[in-house]
Amino acid sequence: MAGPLLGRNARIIVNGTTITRAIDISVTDEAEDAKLTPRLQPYAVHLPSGKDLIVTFQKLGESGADYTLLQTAFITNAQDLVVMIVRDATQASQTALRFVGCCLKFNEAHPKDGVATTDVVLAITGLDGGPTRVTWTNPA
Amino acid sequence: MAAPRLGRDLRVYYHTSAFTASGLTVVAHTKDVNITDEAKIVTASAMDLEYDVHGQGSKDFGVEFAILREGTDETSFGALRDAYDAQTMLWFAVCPAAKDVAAGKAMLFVGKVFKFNEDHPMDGDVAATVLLKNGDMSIFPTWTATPLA
Repeated sequence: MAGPLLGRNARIIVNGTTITRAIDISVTDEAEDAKLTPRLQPYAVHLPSGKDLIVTFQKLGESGADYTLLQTAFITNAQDLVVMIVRDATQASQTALRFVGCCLKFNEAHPKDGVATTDVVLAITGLDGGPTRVTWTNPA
Repeated sequence: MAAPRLGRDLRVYYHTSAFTASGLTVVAHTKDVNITDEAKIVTASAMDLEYDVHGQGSKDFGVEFAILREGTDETSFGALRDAYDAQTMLWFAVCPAAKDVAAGKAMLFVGKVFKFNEDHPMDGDVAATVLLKNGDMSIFPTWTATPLA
């Protein structure tokens, strides 16, 4: 095995801007189960239907162009954010997930004894037909 | 008494077009594989029966597991991901242990990928969670002796 991939190396890129200090990224990509139960058959048959794609993460801090980008997208109900999920930003290139989406959540927490964080949820809008796998090349 | 079987020994294999011994590819770096195979309870009651009568209804089958991710896309990871994207059918064999491919038993089913979730924890490894379900009305999940023909 080449070595496990670390979650801390993942990156979210929105409209070409890398979201800095994004932690605990979670990508939910699953289909609804359209189940058939044919008579006199031992098993139900499953067909994938209506997929859903949602990305959640926490962003540390509350400043910077990337922060403003997400905040503005949420406030203005932008539906055409181009989102890319890069699994390992330490590599030269890799297959990344790309979709057009919107910002569904922008919750800020300002604990007295900790760092300000923002819970962000990005979800697909389907404006360009669905997610695609694209080749991401490390600009560095 | 035989030693208990370890969950880590289980392997999930796939093929793009058939159940055959050759051409089966193991899904790399799987962990925590759970096979759900349960029947709906169908109950009948009649006035002259003291007890209700229970039978098995349509069984529900699914296999869910995590894949520990490497920096590069393994062949099997890419194959499952592409099958999820395109909703294409795959032929699956689940063996209680790797050696069972050569001699033992395997759970065979034809189905599709229903889930492809990825978690990137700040302080841990990346893992993808995959859910497989049977989807062919003419071939139902079944345990079969190996090696496959």
